[in-house]
Amino acid sequence: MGLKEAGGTDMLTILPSQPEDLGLITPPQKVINQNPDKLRITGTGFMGASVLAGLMYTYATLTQEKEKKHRDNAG
Amino acid sequence: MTTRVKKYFDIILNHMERSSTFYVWVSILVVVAGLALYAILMSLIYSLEIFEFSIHVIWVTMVSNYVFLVVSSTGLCIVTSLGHVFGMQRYEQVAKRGVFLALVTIIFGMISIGAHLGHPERAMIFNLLTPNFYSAMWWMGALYTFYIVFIAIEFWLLARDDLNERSEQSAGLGKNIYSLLAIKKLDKLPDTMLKNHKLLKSVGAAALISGLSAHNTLGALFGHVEARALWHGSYYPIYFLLSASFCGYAWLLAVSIATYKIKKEGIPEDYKSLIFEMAQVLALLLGAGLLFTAYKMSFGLFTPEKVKPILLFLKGPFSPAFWLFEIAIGTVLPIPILLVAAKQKNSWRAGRLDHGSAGRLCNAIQLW
Repeated sequence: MGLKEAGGTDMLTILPSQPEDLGLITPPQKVINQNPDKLRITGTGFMGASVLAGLMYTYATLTQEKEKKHRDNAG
Repeated sequence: MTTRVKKYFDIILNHMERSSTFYVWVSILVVVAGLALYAILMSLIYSLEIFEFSIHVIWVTMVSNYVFLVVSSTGLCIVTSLGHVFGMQRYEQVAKRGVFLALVTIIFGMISIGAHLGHPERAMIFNLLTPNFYSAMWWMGALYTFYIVFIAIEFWLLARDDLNERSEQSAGLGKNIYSLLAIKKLDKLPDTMLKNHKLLKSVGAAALISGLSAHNTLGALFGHVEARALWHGSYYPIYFLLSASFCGYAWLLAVSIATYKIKKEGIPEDYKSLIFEMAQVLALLLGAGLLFTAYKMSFGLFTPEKVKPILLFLKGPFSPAFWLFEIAIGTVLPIPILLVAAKQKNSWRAGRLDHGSAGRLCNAIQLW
């Protein structure tokens, strides 16, 4: 029968042909959630999490002497 | 029946030492919890406008609550994992308290975001039925679900010894409840899993990995929003992780010192030493946070699409909150206080500082 007009006008549009064939310009389809920039942003975060885990490990390694003292006191 | 209820009620009150502070504190909590429950109910029945939700500002009160609570939870998980995951035994002193707080904050964080959705039941159903693997929001929900499960198991493993002890000390119904909570049957398992803390270490590592991943995804979610120039970019995922770290340290310092003060008990020497060390690390992390904020603001001033929102903070309507709370009270002032405390720690260890002064320094740390 026809397509409901976008934009909430509640008008029915009946076209005899495809819009492109009638010379009507249609906007390009937006490809949702496939933006490489989003991968870059998320990837940076994971890199940050890895750096944080590395820093925690370094902190544990650098304070081994203090840890040994604590264990001696506790034991 | 009435006598039994009265008996258990008496036991609870005796545990709380029947202090007036306790009654005041519980009354305040009951009033605040009642108001919150009323607001949540009204938001579900009538409108989300009760949370100042509007078409112009769509991420409001409950989202900021949610972010604060999940940032705190991840931070607490980071700090406590230094103990049983990274082998720093001195941090095990704060493990149980930290993991308990992490569990409580994540549960209330999830309640906050659930209330913000308006129809939380739809999220629960359709996240499972029609997952969108390209959505950062879906991943955030899924990863936080794993995180809650792991952090709950971690807390149970930490509390299990106490539950066992209590079941042995109790009698009747109390004994049965404690035995059930401790799952006594597990004691028949080979010693290696539960007693060598191998399971705790594995679950702690799983909680840390899922917590960091979920938190990074939350930061990325803000970073993905192209319509909000201030948030858009790689800055937020990293800053969220950093802010979680200092939030976790701040929570543990404040709650640990407050607990000892309320219970009117002296802080054990080892614990005090850890508090000073944590204050030192917190000062370092706050310094890094200040650099991040300076970078965000200065970089934003040279990026055309970010200038307007940045100016809202620097000299616009948000400037009093930004300069007074975020910068002055939240970041700049605590650093010298924490550093002075950390410096005084050496004097205290060398015996040049009495315990009263060390206690006052602890108070100063707690205040900030």
